[in-house]
Order: sequence, then C-alpha cells, then structure tokens
Amino acid sequence: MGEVRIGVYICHCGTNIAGVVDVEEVRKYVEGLPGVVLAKTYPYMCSDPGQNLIKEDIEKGLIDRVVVAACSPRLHEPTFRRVLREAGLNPYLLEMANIREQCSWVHMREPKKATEKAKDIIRMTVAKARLLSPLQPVEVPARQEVLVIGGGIAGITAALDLANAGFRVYLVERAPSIGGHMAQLDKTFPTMDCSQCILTPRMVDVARHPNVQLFTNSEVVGVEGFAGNFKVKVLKKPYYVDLDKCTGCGLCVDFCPIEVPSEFDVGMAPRKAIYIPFPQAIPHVAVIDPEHCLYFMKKKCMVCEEVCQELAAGAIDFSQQPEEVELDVGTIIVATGYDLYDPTQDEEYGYGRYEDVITALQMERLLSASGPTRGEIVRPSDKEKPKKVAYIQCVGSRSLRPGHASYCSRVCCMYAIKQALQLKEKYPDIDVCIFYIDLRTFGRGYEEFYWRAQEHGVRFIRGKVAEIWRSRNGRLVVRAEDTLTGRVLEEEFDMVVLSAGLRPSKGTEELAALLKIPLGPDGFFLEAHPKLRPVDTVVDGIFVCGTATGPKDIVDTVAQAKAAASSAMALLSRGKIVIEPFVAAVDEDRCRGCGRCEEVCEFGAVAVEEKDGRLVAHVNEALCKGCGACSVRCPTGAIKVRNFRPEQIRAMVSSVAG
Amino acid sequence: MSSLILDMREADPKFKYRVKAIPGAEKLTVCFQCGACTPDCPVAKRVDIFRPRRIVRLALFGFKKRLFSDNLLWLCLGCFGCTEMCPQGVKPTELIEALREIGAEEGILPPSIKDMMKALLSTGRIHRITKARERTRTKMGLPALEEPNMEELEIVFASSGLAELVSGKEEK
Ligand SMILES: Cc1cc2nc3c(=O)[nH]c(=O)nc-3n(C[C@H](O)[C@H](O)[C@H](O)COP(=O)(O)OP(=O)(O)OC[C@H]3O[C@@H](n4cnc5c(N)ncnc54)[C@H](O)[C@@H]3O)c2cc1C
Ligand SMILES: Cc1cc2nc3c(=O)[nH]c(=O)nc-3n(C[C@H](O)[C@H](O)[C@H](O)COP(=O)(O)OP(=O)(O)OC[C@H]3O[C@@H](n4cnc5c(N)ncnc54)[C@H](O)[C@@H]3O)c2cc1C
Ligand code: SF4
Ligand code: SF4
Ligand code: SF4
Ligand code: SF4
Ligand code: SF4
Ligand code: SF4
Repeated sequence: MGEVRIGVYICHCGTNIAGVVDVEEVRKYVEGLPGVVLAKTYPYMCSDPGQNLIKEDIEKGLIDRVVVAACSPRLHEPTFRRVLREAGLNPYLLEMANIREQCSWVHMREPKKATEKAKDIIRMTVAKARLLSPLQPVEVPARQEVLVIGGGIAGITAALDLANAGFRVYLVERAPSIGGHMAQLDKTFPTMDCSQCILTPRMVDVARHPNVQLFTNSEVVGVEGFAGNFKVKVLKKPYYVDLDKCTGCGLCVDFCPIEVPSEFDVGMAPRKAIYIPFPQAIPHVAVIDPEHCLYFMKKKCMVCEEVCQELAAGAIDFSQQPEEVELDVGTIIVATGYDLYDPTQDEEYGYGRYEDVITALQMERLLSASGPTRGEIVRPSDKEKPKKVAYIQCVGSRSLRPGHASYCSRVCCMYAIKQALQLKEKYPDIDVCIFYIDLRTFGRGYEEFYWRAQEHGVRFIRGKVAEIWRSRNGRLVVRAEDTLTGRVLEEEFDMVVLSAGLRPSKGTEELAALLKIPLGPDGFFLEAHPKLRPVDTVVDGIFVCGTATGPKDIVDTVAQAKAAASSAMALLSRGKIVIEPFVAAVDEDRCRGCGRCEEVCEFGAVAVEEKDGRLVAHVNEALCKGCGACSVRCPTGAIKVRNFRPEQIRAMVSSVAG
Repeated sequence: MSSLILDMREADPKFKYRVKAIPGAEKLTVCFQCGACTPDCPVAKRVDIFRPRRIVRLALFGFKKRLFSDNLLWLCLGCFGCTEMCPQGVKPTELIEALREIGAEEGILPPSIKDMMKALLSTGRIHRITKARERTRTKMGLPALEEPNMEELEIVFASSGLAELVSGKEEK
C-alpha cells in the first residue's frame, strides 16, 4: 500500500456544530495530521453542494480516503458512502467522525474544550482511516415468506396486504381465535361503524387466503438468523379438539358442567370449560381450557367427548399434545397489541369491590348487540337499567403514582365520548357525565365527535375523581373537584365506568428478548425512529405495528400495519439482502484450526472445517454480527473483523493516549 | 379577597423558581390542575378559599399577595392526603411547607403562630401543661415529663433566625 491521501471534511451543521466548535481552528489543526492532504469546512456537508465537494476532490485524484467530521454515522454514513461510490472510490474507504452528538451537542457550554475534543475525535478517526481497506458488500438470498405475530386488526391487515402482493404469510396468534380487541368492541369512533361488521370480513379473508397459513392458539418460542433468513419455532398448543372435524355446532358447550368467567366478555358473562371464544371466532371451533376442565383436573366427566361422539362429529381428542413447527421466513412483523390496565390496585375507585364499577371494555360488551345482555345496559348488581352513569378518565394513565403509566393512552377520551353517545342514543333520558383532566380529540372528525356528544347533553366535568364509595341506598357516590368553578362535588350514580389505559401486552418482554429488539421506557416495543422509521426496529428485517408500539386507535393501527407490510415487501422484493461487510474474515495461512473462535462466538457464525487436508476456521458472513469476540480470542491473529482490525483500534488508541 | 379579574401585574413570574429550589417543592411547575388533591382535603371541605390545587396555581403564577393573605398557608393540617392523590408527584403538602418557609423569611407569620413560637421560647413548650394533664399522665402510667432544655432551644432559635422573627421585626 502506497502513501494514503486523506481528505477531511468538517461540517458546521448550521450552528449545531459551528456554534460550539471552532471549525476553522479544527480545520487548520487537522491539515497537519499525517496522511491528510486536504481539510475543508462546509455549512451542510449532507446538502448537494457539500456532497459535490467530496466528489470533485476524488474525481480530480486529490484524495483516496475520506473522513467526514459531522453527525452520527447512523444518520448519514449511507449518504457519504454513496458519494464515494458515485465518484468511483470504494465506498468503504470512508470514516465518520461524530463531532455533533458526541461533541458539540453535549458540550454546548464549553466551546473551548469541545473544540479540543473535536480535534481528538478527528485525530483518532484519521488514524483509523489510514488503515482502511476497500471492501465489497455481502449479498445473501432473501426468503419470500413473512411471519406476522399477533392476529388483531394490525396483524390481520399486514398479513392481507402481504398475501395479496404474493408473499406467503404465517400468522401466529396466541389466543384460540384471531380478532384481538377489536372483536370485543361494539361500535367504533369516529364513524360509529359496527366493529364486527368491518372486522369479520377481514378475518374471513385472511383465513381463506391461499397465501396465508394461520397458527392460532400458538406462540413463537424461538427465533434465530437475520434479515432474509430467519428460522422461527412456533409452539402450537392443543385445542383438544380436532380442527378438521369440529363443525363449531356448540353441542359440547351446552353439556359441559363447568362455568368460568369469559375472557371475551371480560367477566360480564360466564363461559364453559369447553367453549367457542365468540360467535364470529376464526377458526370457528371449540377449545378446551385444561385449567378448568374436569377431565384434566380430576380425570372425570368427558361429557363433551360423549356428546360429540354420539350426536356430532367425534372431534374431541384429549390426547392432543403441544407441537413445535419450524418456519423459514425473510421478515417478521410484530403486531402483538395491548392489554387493558387492571384498575384493581386503585382502591379509591373500588373496582373489584363494587360490582357497578366496571371498565370501559366491560361496557363495550354490555353495549354489544351480540354481547351477554344483547345490547341492554344493566347494572351488574341488580340488573336494573341505570339512570345515571359516570365515566372516570385517565385511570392508570398520565400518573406518576406507583403502578401507573406516565403516558396518555390516547384512545380513552374518544372511547368514553363514544360510549356516552351510544348510551344517550339508546336511552335519551339517561344522564351521562364524564370526569376528565384534559380531553384529547386530535384526529380527523374527532373534535366534531366531541361536539356531537355535547349536543346530546353529555356532561363534562373537569376534575380528577378522588374517590368512589357506595352509599346506603346502594348507589355509587363520586367525589371530585369541578376545577372550573373550584367547587367540590359529591354526586350519586348508578354505574361508574373506568376509562382504563392501554398497557404492553403480556409476554412483550419475553418476545422482545427472543427477537433481540428493545422496549421503550413505557414497556412497548421501540421503533427505530419515531418519525422517520416508525414501523422499523433496530434489527433489520423485523418490523412492528399497531398498539404493540404504544396506544393507538384503529385508524393509526391500520395505517401502521399497512406501512409495516410495505416495508417488509420493499425488503424482500429484490430477492436478496445486502449485508455490511464488517464481519470477521480468516487469514487461512495463519489459522491453526484450534477452534477457540468457534467456542466464543455467540451467534454460531464461525466453525472450524476441514479444507484441503487441514482444519481452518470458516465464517458464515450472514450470521456474523462483527462483534469481534473471536478476534480477541484467536492466539495467532488469524481472524479479524474487516475494517475494525486490531491494528486499527491500536492506532486510534495510541493517537490519543500514545 | 378573591376578585374575578387576575391582575397579572401582581404576579411574579420568577417566584416559582424560588419555590422550586426548596427541597420537596421541586415539582411545582408540573401541576396540571387536575384537582385530585382537593376533594379529600379536610380543610377544603370547610374553607372555601382553601384548595391545594388553588395554592399550587397561585404559587405557580407568583401571586404572592394572595398566597400570603388570609393565613391561607397556615390552614393546612399536613395530613398528606393531597400528596397521596396527586398523579404528577407535586406533593402539595411539602410545597405548602416551602411556601411557609418563604413567608417566614419575609417576616410573614400569622399572629397565632407567633404566639406559639413565643410560648415555646419562654416555656419550652407550645402548649401549657396543666396539673390535670400531668395527673392524667401518671394515671396512664406514663413517665413524668422532662423539663425542656431551654439552653438548646435558645441556640436553635438564635441560629435559625426564629428569635428575630418572633420578637420584633414586623411584617414587610
Ligand atoms: C374500551 C375500548 C374501546 C375502544 N374503542 C375504539 C374505537 O371505537 N375506535 C378505535 O379506533 N379504537 C378503539 N379502541 C382501540 C382499539 O382497541 C385498538 O386500536 C386496536 O384494537 C389495536 O389493534 P392491535 O391489533 O394493535 O392490538 P390487539 O387488538 O390487542 O391485537 C393483538 C393480538 O395479538 C395477540 N398476541 C399478543 N401477544 C402475542 C404473542 N406473544 N404471540 C402471539 N399473539 C399475541 C393478542 O392475542 C391479540 O389477538 C378501543 C379500545 C378500548 C380499550
Ligand atoms: C409550526 C409548525 C410546527 C410543526 N412542528 C412539528 C414537529 O415538531 N413535529 C412533527 O411531527 N410535526 C410538526 N409539524 C407538522 C409537520 O409540518 C407535518 O406533519 C409535515 O410537514 C407534513 O408533511 P407532508 O409531506 O404531508 O406535507 P408538506 O410538508 O406540506 O409537503 C407537501 C409538498 O407538496 C407540494 N405540493 C402541494 N401541492 C402540490 C401540487 N398540486 N403539485 C405538486 N406539489 C405540490 C408542496 O409544495 C410541498 O412541498 C409542524 C407544523 C407546523 C405548522
Ligand atoms: S452531515 Fe450531519 S452534521 Fe453535517 S449538515 Fe448533515 S446532518 Fe448536519
Ligand atoms: S370433559 Fe371438560 S370440557 Fe368436556 S364437558 Fe367435561 S368439563 Fe367440560
Ligand atoms: S386519552 Fe384521555 S382519558 Fe386517556 S389517558 Fe389520555 S387524556 Fe386520559
Ligand atoms: S365558554 Fe363561552 S365562548 Fe367558550 S364555548 Fe362556552 S359559551 Fe362559548
Ligand atoms: S393533584 Fe397534583 S397535579 Fe392535580 S391539581 Fe393537585 S397538585 Fe396539581
Ligand atoms: S396536606 Fe394540607 S392541603 Fe393536603 S390534603 Fe392535607 S390539609 Fe389539605
């Protein structure tokens, strides 16, 4: 390798960098560094003229290595790589020196020291750049199948878009039926479509689609691999019913002697130990709940089997075992939704103590024409029609108290207004009162929806409720301050509905660990960038959508699901995936085949194999993450991560500490 | 007392920073006026102008005159009910204490409190202990009360500036 000729380009980033770091001083200093042949500053290096500056210097033959001292490589490294490629230079002869996020932004009040630190950062980067080698990106074929985890409206929508585009989709749903929360809702704001009427056809479409394979009552238990080539293990839990034979007639359900609270009706009605989750369930089959079934608990009963054998399809099969299936997929979409906050811990509201204090999801079941009361609103305690109903907003949300969430759950203002309107429409003389802190009606048509509720006479009281108790006559007393008049009020109601917030769904942490994707401080999956990459995760090939990334209404959930489907398509449609070449490479002459690299690699990416009569290490470039653990362990220095070689790291260290 | 129009010339926008600097009152500025602190406050139930929420508001805007009039701050019982309810971690109880401190620094102390302090300084106790009370103590098997250590008390009063407050310096 002859003498290198490095060009250093120092960005002002407007005043982001130049407002703190004396870029001209840095430029003069950098000019004198070994290997540097020119150093320039420019207001915005990422702009067109900024990029051209580099391009022209390369094309004139002035430089053969580039250092851009600007923002984080996460932001613009790809941009500048492209500039090198377009100018005819190998794109990997570029190094970024981060003097914004790691310097000017964090040392805003110490311009002198920041300037010195910028010099240090660039000196290190130049030291590394002197030893860069040209590389070629690694290409691997991408599988054309997609795994969608979660069968709520988000998962169903993403699966359908992908299937219609010709990709094979595996849809994995933990519950015995797809549908998610939307299946439990009655009508939906802001248009008041009946939830089932718009959801059920989509459920049927996805189930019947030739490109979709459903795995209900199933969970993802293992994930390995990388974008384009994931290997996934799915655990199918038994229904104890043969899905091919069961006709969903429900005879077994009628005869089963065991009753437990129904999950679907959120405890507002019972279900049996063998049950069909809800009338529109898909698959529309019976499932046995082994935690309550007499056969599984005490080895007796088996009435369902008898009934089904004698009168129906002979579908019951107590001997079914869990089954593990392995799937190969190119991308994964996470759409695991939310759980409703359980307000039992908020003792001041008496949920769980007073029957007539219910959550809004329970109210959805009462409102639903196919619900346990066929749409009649009755007080749970005495089955009477309530004359006065109160809604309490922000239950478990917007609060720093232990067990609460600091965020706003986004949908509860709107769903409370929706239910209030429905109550008013069903029973015009009912009195509905909403106790709120702030009302958040931000979407298209949402404020107008609020307006409609006001027109119908729904009362809105601005004050967070402090306490609910039951008076002697059995009615519930709500105490709050009407902050707009400064008066404390105590008012009796027949029912109180808690507008409970949205929480990450159970199992989110475990799934995040399997997929190696991070969670936000709120416990929901974290997107790669809230604005620019809202459905990507930091792991290539894994996308996330809907309420899995935080509270959302159906409108936003579906928009994200469609975005995730398109992003998955964009990744797979080229048929191959390009991987950065920063992976381990073996110098076979030096390798002694000792296998220590194989021992330390966490990703199973190195293996010692026989080659031409002797043992040498071999790297699977698609699996290697470039962590460098092997390089540290190798006794002969035969295995090194490309462009992160020990001599480069040493050069960087000695340039600051040497 | 309260008039319908807030005269913003009376508001001191810097006051909140002075309050926030006192330990316990740091969260003053995040109050979103939800009112959860008020309904269960035993004082608010009896005194119309006393609302923990209103006190936070007045402090936030810096309406010092209103805050320090009507003995408002001294009505709080320190029951911590509001603090328990507050979703924003504002801790109105401690905030009120901080405001009392500021009031005291500026020489604003209600006469009743001054009297209490004076009693403490002269007798070593806030309340007078009657013979009857002492008899009750003995009946209940409680040990006899120790004599207050006046020397220590005087040092505390002098070094904390309480002595000066109680003795003369009139309200500003
Ligand atoms: C009371 C109430 C009323 C509402 N009303 C409205 C309304 O009127 N209009 C509106 O726009 N929005 C409304 N919403 C919000 C609406 O429910 C959500 O926007 C929507 O359901 C989110 O869909 P999702 O697919 O993201 O999540 P979900 O519906 O929660 O679906 C997630 C699915 O993933 C499954 N799952 C979870 N974890 C796993 C796992 N590890 N493996 C496999 N599967 C898993 C779950 O079983 C579930 O089927 C309301 C919400 C509530 C609480
Ligand atoms: C003061 C202010 C502050 C904001 N701050 C934030 C913030 O902090 N965070 C945030 O998330 N959002 C913020 N927003 C919102 C943000 O601006 C928008 O969400 C975003 O810019 C919308 O992007 P767009 O591409 O849809 O529309 P636009 O940015 O309006 O782009 C539309 C483009 O189409 C062009 N165009 C229009 N008609 C035609 C035509 N007939 N033919 C061809 N071209 C056409 C226009 O010239 C324009 O270039 C803010 C908005 C405002 C007003
Ligand atoms: S390269 Fe980075 S630092 Fe420079 S203008 Fe662009 S964003 Fe700003
Ligand atoms: S065997 Fe179990 S599921 Fe079947 S009828 Fe008996 S209790 Fe119900
Ligand atoms: S949407 Fe409304 S009720 Fe729900 S947390 Fe936000 S402000 Fe509170
Ligand atoms: S407060 Fe007054 S101005 Fe505002 S909406 Fe009501 S009536 Fe109209
Ligand atoms: S409870 Fe807290 S946030 Fe609400 S008004 Fe009182 S101090 Fe403010
Ligand atoms: S601490 Fe004071 S302000 Fe708070 S509830 Fe008790 S008496 Fe009221």
